[in-house]
Amino acid sequence: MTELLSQEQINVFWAIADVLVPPSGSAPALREVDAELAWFERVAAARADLVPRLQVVLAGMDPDRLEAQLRSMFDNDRVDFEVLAVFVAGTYYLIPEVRTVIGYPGQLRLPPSQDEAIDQLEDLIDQASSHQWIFRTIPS
Amino acid sequence: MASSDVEEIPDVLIIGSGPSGAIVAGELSAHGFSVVCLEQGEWHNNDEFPGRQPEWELLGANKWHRDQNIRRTPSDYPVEVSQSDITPIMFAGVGGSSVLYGGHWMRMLPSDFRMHSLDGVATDWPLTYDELAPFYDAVESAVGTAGVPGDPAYLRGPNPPLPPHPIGGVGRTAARGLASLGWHWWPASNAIASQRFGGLTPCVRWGTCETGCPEGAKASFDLTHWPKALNAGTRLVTGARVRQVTLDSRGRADGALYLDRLGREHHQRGRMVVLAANGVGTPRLLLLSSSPRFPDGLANGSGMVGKRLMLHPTSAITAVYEEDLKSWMGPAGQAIYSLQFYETDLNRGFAGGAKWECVPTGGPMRAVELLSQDGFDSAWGPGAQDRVRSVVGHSVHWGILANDLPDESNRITLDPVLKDSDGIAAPRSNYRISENSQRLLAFHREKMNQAISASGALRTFEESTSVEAGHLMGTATMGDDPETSVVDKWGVTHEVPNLCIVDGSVMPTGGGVNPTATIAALALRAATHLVSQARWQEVSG
Repeated sequence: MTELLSQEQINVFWAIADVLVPPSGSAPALREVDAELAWFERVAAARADLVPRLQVVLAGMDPDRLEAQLRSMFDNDRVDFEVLAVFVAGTYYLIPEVRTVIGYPGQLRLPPSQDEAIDQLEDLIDQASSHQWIFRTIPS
Repeated sequence: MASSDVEEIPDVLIIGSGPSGAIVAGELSAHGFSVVCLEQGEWHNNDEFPGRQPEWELLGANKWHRDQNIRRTPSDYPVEVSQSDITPIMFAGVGGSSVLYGGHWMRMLPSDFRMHSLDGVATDWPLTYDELAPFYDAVESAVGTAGVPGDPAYLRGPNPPLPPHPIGGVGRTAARGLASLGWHWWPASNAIASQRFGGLTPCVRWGTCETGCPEGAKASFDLTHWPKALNAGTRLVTGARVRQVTLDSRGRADGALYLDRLGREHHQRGRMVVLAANGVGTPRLLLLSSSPRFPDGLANGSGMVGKRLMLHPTSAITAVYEEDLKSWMGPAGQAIYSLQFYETDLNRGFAGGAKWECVPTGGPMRAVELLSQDGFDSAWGPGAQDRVRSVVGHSVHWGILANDLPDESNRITLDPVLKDSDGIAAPRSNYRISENSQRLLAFHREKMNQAISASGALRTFEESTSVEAGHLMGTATMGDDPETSVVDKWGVTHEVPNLCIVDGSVMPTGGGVNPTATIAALALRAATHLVSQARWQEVSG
């Protein structure tokens, strides 16, 4: 668990996530895949500058009308909405199960094979090489 | 009061350790000159960079952000931008902004040096492409650029020492679109090693070039040039923020006052002073160095110091495709580029042209940002994950890098209020995107949309103008006439014969391509000149 948010704030945060990235099909709920808030903690470490504002914004949310409030913030208070977006999307799309759902493996170390560059150009480079001259020659 | 802790006076004092400072330091040291370089930032190593971490995108939005006004480290100085359409961005550290650049390595075209003669705008350079070409060749050999020789855009063009990187799904998709229209494209030249080269390791496609290469494959100048310069004897002082260039009784530059990490002031002397502090830092320092002899700023008799700031406005269109292009994969770096509409055609209603570049698009946070352009229900709510999935890995960032004509009202001055962490006046950027640039970008977006359509895109996200730019040029312009320029064609200031400027400040025009190759070639040319002319060079003391 995190010491950055109270249990009440955590509940609001998860409820916001249910609105912004609701579970469906193979896509899990944030509260399911980050029950221990370990991924949230990583985001909070990366964006420690935003944690105080997150606490303030969460305190101002009304659990009974979250969707309307979020839509209003998106249109009229984008700065605070983006604080929520960074923590919700930042946490959610960091989680391996979710990355599998969206087809994103993360940034990877993928050394190319020796011939990959040449193979990828083989059917294209002749056209590029034979392009007509369209550039200006400068008299010396 | 400054401590006088340096007794031996080096031949050359360089201020700034980015690409141009690194090149000049290495060249002069290799020829037996004693060299000291002052750098306000620190060394960084590969392990510091966030590319290997899952939260890479989040760290790139804060601690490793490209914009110093967001990053806000003590080494960086802030830039006041309330009157600037674009924020000039830079990085303070050994290697300078090359630590965070994308490594797009482009030469200017011959016509860029003759815009006044050819198009009736801007000014001609006091040198030609052909004069600079041997220095392009030399710096590319030292940097280790990777690419394919033979680009039909250049009669005498690059011959990269390293083979190209795979252009990937991003490059192949974009190339097919351009080829179907018969338009120019070429596999990109990047300052990223495709094979082991000097101190560089081969690129393994992390795709995180602009937050620092975690592998040590990107040719940042802390890796490509500083080890050799240090081995040749250059003394590099980090954590040294220069606040003034000092003069001797004859008005020759004789050193610089700098503050160390603890705020203690030192006077580092030098028989010659070379400014390599970038197109914002150099005019800032010249203006900070005003004196009774130079009341409007050092070497500013022309009044041109700080003026003609060029930043390269950009537009971008992100195109989304059905196929999985793995467009999170590097290098990033450019995959391909096009110069189809690079040359001026005044019938279009504007002067200049632009380079197009196709690059990877990153991860899910970028996808969310793009989807948010369409409103709440695009990025969020039921099905959000499917929509993010449709963009991540399936998209190509098509960028337009506009030729930015010099305009004296676009300028760097000293801000009367904002200070850096040492209490020194911060630079203020006054910059408006010109009508010419607006028309240019609109034309290019229209043409680019044709190419994107031809490449089979499902949909696009358009960003009409960028909010930040790291191409800092023009603020101490080069020319033959001391009335209208700050430095001569070798980078020596007209008014102070032992003060030289070697960064992007000296560029009379900026072309429509990434400027590091040109800045590096100019710096090598200036250093070569200093070596050859040393016998006759005026010095302080």
